[in-house]
Amino acid sequence: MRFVDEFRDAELARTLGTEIAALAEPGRHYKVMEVCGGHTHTIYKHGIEDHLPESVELVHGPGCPVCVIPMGRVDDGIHIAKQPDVIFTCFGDMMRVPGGDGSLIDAKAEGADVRFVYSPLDALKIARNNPDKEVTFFAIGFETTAPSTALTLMRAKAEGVTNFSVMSNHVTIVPPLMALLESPDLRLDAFIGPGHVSTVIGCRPYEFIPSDYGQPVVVAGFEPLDLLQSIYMIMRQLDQGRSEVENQYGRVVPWEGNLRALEILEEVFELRPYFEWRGLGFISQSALALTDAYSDFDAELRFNIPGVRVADPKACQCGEVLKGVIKPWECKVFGTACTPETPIGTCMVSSEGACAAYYNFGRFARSKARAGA
Amino acid sequence: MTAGGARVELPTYDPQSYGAVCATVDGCLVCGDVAVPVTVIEPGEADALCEDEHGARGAVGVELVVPVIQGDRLLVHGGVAISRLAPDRAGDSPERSDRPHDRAQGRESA
Repeated sequence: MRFVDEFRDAELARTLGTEIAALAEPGRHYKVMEVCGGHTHTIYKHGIEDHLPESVELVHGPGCPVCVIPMGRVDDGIHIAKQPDVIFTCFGDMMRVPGGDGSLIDAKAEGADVRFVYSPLDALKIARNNPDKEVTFFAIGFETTAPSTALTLMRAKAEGVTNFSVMSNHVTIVPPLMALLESPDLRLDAFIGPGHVSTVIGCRPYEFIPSDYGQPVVVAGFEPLDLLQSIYMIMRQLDQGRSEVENQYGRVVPWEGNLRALEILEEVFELRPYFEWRGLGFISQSALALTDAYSDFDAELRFNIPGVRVADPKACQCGEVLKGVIKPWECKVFGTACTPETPIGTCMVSSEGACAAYYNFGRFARSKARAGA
Repeated sequence: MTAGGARVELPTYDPQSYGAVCATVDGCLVCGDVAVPVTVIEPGEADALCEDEHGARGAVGVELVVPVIQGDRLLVHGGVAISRLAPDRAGDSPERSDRPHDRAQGRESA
């Protein structure tokens, strides 16, 4: 199949695997974090680790926005969804994320009008078609998704749509990377940078990682050869004693990002002083709230949300998984009490979550891990 | 497809907008970093009719990448184009590239 087979060529993958192994220094262990959940998914779907030497370990990062939403925010969304005459819209994966007292899909089963959409523009369309209802969009996502929410809000404002609001849970990628780099739990050698986030923000925001922490960053695409080539580029930097930001995904990612998208993000959103991330705790200036110019569309102001902080279930170790401290199969409830059908933690809900990727593709079974221990 | 002897009809997929093509096994649009490459069929200033690689057509918000003309290739996420794709590099020969990956071309999403 054109456009697919070329980036999944097994012979080229083996060649890259051999070249990566040749660059690995004997006796050294390399820890490379893929920040993006999409990369985690590719790694397990295509068995990328099978092409890597044992000394190169891939660590999964916090780049799945569903996975990092704390339970209290889900509860706030459910509170809005249960208000009379409200149509609550969200992306599909968000429907199943457990809050402190059930999920949005549970709320729907109890009678709330909860609908999933593929685009915030679809939520605005629902608002136009239902002028007697309040339509709220539960916005999640990194800088990849935030521009579509911003564009939707600009259209709503221009059209004078008054029955539409957004509960913003948009987060930004750089602050959690800083938090990880400062974490004493984790020592990394390099980062595989997120691909589509970088189409918006470009590559410059990562420059502090090589300059301040001496670690290479390679922005990568999402096909198997993209990832293998990115790991090769990282290993080449480490071998040559360099640490730089490189862009493997040049066919999509401009070095400067999308300046128009950055402009509208600036107009519609402002940084929150702090925001809670599941597993990472409160991180300052890591999430986006609506600016004063768009406060009329702010669901948090329109509805009196409880804003209660809810602790994660004790059995769930999503926090450690999101920080890359443990592998999914090391969690006590992985694959037993927690499965994609009955998730306890968010990492099992989202198909980009590390736990779901391990569970679905079974690249590293618990039995294999024990045998190797 | 059959289940328990009974024939089960798979639901047909009718995307409302681009960026919507999200099969579970190929990752998930809604949790972030998945995007779909499309080609512009009918340009517009706010929305453009676009076609994906499977021939499905729909409206895409193009205000972040305007101006667009027929034949432009865009990367769409959540119904909005967030980037233009580099021109097709089909003409690249392996001899011209020093990286194995550069011998390949094409698909931008996962």
